[in-house]
Amino acid sequence: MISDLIENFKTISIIGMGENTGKTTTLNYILSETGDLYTFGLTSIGRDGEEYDSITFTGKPQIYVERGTYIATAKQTFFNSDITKEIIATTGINTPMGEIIIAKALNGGYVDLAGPSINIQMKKICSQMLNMGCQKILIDGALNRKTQASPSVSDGTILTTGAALSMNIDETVDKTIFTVRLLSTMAEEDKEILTIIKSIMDKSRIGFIYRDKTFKTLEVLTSLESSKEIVENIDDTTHVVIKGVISDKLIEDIMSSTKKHKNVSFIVEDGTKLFLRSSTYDKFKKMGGIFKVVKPITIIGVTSNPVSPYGYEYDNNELLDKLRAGINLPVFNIMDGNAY
Amino acid sequence: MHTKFLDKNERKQVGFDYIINKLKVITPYGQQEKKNIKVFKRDEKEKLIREYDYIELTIEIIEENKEILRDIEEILFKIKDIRNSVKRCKNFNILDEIELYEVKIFSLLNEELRRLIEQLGLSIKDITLKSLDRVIDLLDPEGRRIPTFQIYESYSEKLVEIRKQKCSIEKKIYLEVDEKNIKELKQARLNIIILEKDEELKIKEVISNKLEKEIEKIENNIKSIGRFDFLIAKAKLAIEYKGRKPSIKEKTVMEFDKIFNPEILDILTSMGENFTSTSVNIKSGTTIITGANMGGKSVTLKTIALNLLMGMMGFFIFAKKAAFPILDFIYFVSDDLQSVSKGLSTFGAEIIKLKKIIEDVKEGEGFISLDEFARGTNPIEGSYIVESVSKYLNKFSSISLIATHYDGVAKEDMEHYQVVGLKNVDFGLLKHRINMDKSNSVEIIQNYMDYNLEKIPYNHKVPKDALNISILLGLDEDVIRLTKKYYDKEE
Repeated sequence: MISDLIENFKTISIIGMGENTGKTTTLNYILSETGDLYTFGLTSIGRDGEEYDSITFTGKPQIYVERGTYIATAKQTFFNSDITKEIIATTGINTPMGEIIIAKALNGGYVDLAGPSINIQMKKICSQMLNMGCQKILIDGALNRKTQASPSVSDGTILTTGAALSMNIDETVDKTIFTVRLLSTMAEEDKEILTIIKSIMDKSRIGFIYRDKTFKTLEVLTSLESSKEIVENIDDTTHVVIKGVISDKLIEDIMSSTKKHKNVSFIVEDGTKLFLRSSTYDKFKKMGGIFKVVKPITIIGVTSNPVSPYGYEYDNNELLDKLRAGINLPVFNIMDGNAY
Repeated sequence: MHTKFLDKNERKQVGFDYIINKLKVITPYGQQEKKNIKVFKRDEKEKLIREYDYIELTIEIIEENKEILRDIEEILFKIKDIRNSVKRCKNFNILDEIELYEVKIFSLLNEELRRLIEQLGLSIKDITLKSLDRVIDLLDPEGRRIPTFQIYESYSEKLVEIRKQKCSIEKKIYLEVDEKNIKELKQARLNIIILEKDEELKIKEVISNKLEKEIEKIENNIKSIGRFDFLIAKAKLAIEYKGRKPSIKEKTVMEFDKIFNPEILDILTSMGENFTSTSVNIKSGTTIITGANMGGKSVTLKTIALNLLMGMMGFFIFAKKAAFPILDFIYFVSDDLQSVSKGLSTFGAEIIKLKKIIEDVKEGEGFISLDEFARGTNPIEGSYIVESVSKYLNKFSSISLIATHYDGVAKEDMEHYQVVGLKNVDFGLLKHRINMDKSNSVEIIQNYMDYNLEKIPYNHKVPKDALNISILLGLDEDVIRLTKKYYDKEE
């Protein structure tokens, strides 16, 4: 049951492997199944104007909320929602779509959500809604969007996947299994090292921690193009700290010019910052490299949608079986609610 | 931009920006007041004195009612900017729910603030919060007095009816299983929502129009809150630096007792250094300041310019006591690098400024400070120019304060001040201390330097501290010996 799944988490983000994998359906499913158990607060990781247009005009199902639900959303989308609303607070957090407003639904209805796009703001909004009496916060998340906010702000994350990813069921399954692996990347646990990482990330994009726990930082514009600098500075290093994205190119470039990354931990903020193909990832690990994160993402389950809007569908049971074989987590088909 | 009260760059130089950054207003309305800081004009003497009185009163309030003040500040932190909604309301636009919410919150906070100000017994003419009870009644028709807002059903019977329908259709959708029926019900719901939005819009229009009648009060309160916020910030600044209320003179004289510059005070204090304030009285005409290198002549000029500017803007003065008249202009000329970057030589930039000063001095009364004027040109010509400018300015009733290295600038009919400098220091002892700790020679000299000004006869020679400092800082002895020969020749 989905209610068991979310029971122990206060803030839950839902992120999709891609468009049309059933993110909104999953959200609605949780709301309809557990709506009478909890007072929900809803928000989303913000999107920019362009994405907004593409979403509104495709006529996707909007999110349906019950009476008493709280929403935190930007002014523009606030007026799009057809619930009768009571305004509870204006937050002073501004987005390209206007200030984030927190309102309560005085009856059921459809809402359109666009929340903050920065982690710190997202945390503030969540704690504000919890203070107002919400028992669970659902965050409509993003995986491939260029936003700074990530599912790591929430206590637990649900990943949605489905046929829309590829016509080939095995490709969809492999991609999903690999994404779960990336997102579940282990956290660095050494407290002393974490303090050093924090001070590096506060002021630079790249830093190195050495065996004697000294560190240095590099002034680079982006982490993407800095393989040369990393190779030059990797020496007696225990950790390479990267604020930003680790890409295939970066890792390939490093692997092709040094072997010093053996037993070195490459640290990113969280699993969403690893933009890697499984081949690159496996090769790097085989050569002794380690990936770790500052903030781990707790994936609590995967939902799958066997139907693609492009006119084909997978065999539902085959999809569930294949996913379950590769992922040690509850997997649901939200279309029929069949878990385990 | 030509300004008669220091340009942007000069304000920064004298430490004005530093002070303005320290002025902590809380509300957007206080921010507005801060942005509009202006110099009081000659015909606004009463207004200026009243402003000082207000600061004095606010300081008293802050010191005697710490708890109420904390409550007041807590409210100020919650106050948001509703000026745009106010403007829209005045232009008969329909305010949306969020705007109405914000006006309601503002009005609720206004009432809290009003009660607290009443408790303080504050009597400042500019700060009179009017009751917004009517606004609150309008936006809280059910009298719940909680800080949320909705288009309440009590606004319209029709709305009650529409929402009832909406609710019942939603129940039907919830219970219906047939997809086709659900689709039909959803369409019906959509139609009701359109009705709801229409009715809500009508209500918003009615509310906005009623609100328009109260807008003057709201605007008055916005202004009052801004003023109060601003006055609290000014008073706190005065408390922090022990600022004093200046007195405004009718005659063109200035008296400063232990005047100081907060920026320099803070820098020196943070380095653990001692700080000396300066006392000086100046009257119409030219006053010359001479004195040692490193003796803080520039600091004195900057400090006076800063305090005059602050004082004329209605701030307390950073001094034990201060008196000055309202002036038509304040100038501070120094050879800073900023003007050089505009393509002028230092000297060129100074002359351009001097031209403006001379125009103004003919028409009004102000304060002119020249810091080592013409230092960048050759010393003989430079001294001619400084001497003539001093003579020329001495004829006017404006106050001119001229710091210079050049000998013989001060004339019989001018005041002459000198930085005490190293005059009273046991030179041998100082030299010994520096020998013990050579790497800190500059700091040691600064510690021994007496920054006070003393009045001296006009024809007193410029002190030869340059030679002394060269010796102290360990300049090669051969060079010192050669230099000394010139001094001997002079005598």
